[in-house]
Amino acid sequence: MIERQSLSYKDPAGFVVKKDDGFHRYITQSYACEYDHFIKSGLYQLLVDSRLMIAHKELNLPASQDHLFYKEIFPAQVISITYPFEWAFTQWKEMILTYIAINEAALKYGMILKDATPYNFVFYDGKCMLLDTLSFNFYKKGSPWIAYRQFCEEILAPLSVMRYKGPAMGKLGITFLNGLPLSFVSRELPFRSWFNTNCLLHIHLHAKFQKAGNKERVTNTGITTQKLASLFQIIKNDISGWKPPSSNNSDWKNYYGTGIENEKYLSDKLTTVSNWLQKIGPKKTIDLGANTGKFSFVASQFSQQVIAIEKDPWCADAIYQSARKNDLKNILLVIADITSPSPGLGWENEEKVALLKRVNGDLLMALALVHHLCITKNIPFSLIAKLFSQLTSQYLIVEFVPKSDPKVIEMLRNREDIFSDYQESSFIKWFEKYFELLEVHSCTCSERKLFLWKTK
Amino acid sequence: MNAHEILYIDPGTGSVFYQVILSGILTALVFFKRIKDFFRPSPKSFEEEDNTETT
Repeated sequence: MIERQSLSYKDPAGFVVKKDDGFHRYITQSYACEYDHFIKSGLYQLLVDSRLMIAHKELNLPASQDHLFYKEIFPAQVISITYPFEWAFTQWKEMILTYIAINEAALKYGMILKDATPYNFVFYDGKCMLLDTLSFNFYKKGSPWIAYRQFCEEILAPLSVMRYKGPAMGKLGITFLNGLPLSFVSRELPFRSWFNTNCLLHIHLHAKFQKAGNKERVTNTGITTQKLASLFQIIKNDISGWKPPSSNNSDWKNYYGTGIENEKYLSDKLTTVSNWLQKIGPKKTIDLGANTGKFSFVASQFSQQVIAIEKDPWCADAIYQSARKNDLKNILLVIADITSPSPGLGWENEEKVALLKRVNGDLLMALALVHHLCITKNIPFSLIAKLFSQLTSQYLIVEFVPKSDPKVIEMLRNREDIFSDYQESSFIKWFEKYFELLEVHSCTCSERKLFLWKTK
Repeated sequence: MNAHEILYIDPGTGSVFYQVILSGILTALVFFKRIKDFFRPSPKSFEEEDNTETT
């Protein structure tokens, strides 16, 4: 008997089970017709070839299960899942355009996506792709677009709020796991959003009539295929023109500053980190506090996979855009604050897995980060060293920024210095509890030091 | 609507009702676009004009 797991339980067409070799998907007998049409019509192959969807292979069901299920499939395994509330604005935009492109293709094959949740999409091989093979249903001409409400609440509304109120609003998804109520979004969006086609049609007017329509009799009258195709076209054309919010609001984008001293320091740091990366040859590198991704991009040359974790949504957007522009397919972006990482959410707190259970690597880089954790967030070295030891199975590169550094002086300017323990000797003492020190490098034109550690 | 759709996600009574209105809005949009296109010279006629000028 296959036991249902909390991570997938909603869809009667099938469910996902985590096994030793990865995630398997079971398809129930009730979805046999739809699945067969999806595969045999060529739609599946078209979507896989267009890199809109994750590929899978069919497995042979054991004889004891073949009356219980129609198929067992094994999708290409995504190394780390990121959730929509951890995506940058540009990633959201790409997800919507992928959703529309899939629907446009499906309509030509007499099918349509039966749901519209961003959780069905993943960033894989440098692109946004649909993960859920069971999302397709037959489209009956003239029937309503079943996923329309979900599309507006779970996909369009969050992106609109991010567009008009800033990309940090993406975090609302942690509270509103099943989408934002349209009446709430309509109230929160500024007046100028009434002049945007998508916001006007799918949020403001939809919110007004949604309330009124709840008192009406249920109708099966929908929109024609031609109108549905036009609707997808209108949504696509408008969203394509939405620009990411201005990065002028970010305090972090110009963190490294300019000037000859800074350039020498940065160049020396890049050389040292590159040399260490080359020596280690990591499989999976985590770049914690990735800023605009300078070191994530370096790591992507020496590491099979890089997970760039950055809390600032403007910097994160810059990372994603640069990675896409330079075709760096092995960088996965996560918007997260390591002092408050995404929690486990949904049913039993397991439907959406906590960030710290999703990310780990064999190398962790924490460059120009520890002084922020210690001095801005008051986190002691003991806790930082412990967390870092949980995130890496082998190596750790940490930059230590002393109190004499201009950035630390600035941080302490308007507050009492209660950080008597913030010393290099103390830093080494606490990290030695979990790691063995391999190398130390003093940076050029700076009092900062880079430490290379290995887990004990 | 088949059983699957009803069981799996709730399309929302209000949202299904609104799609009837949306359908009307789309008809109006397509109608106005056609009127606009009627008065706007088509790209083909631009090409024809270019050809006439060069020859």
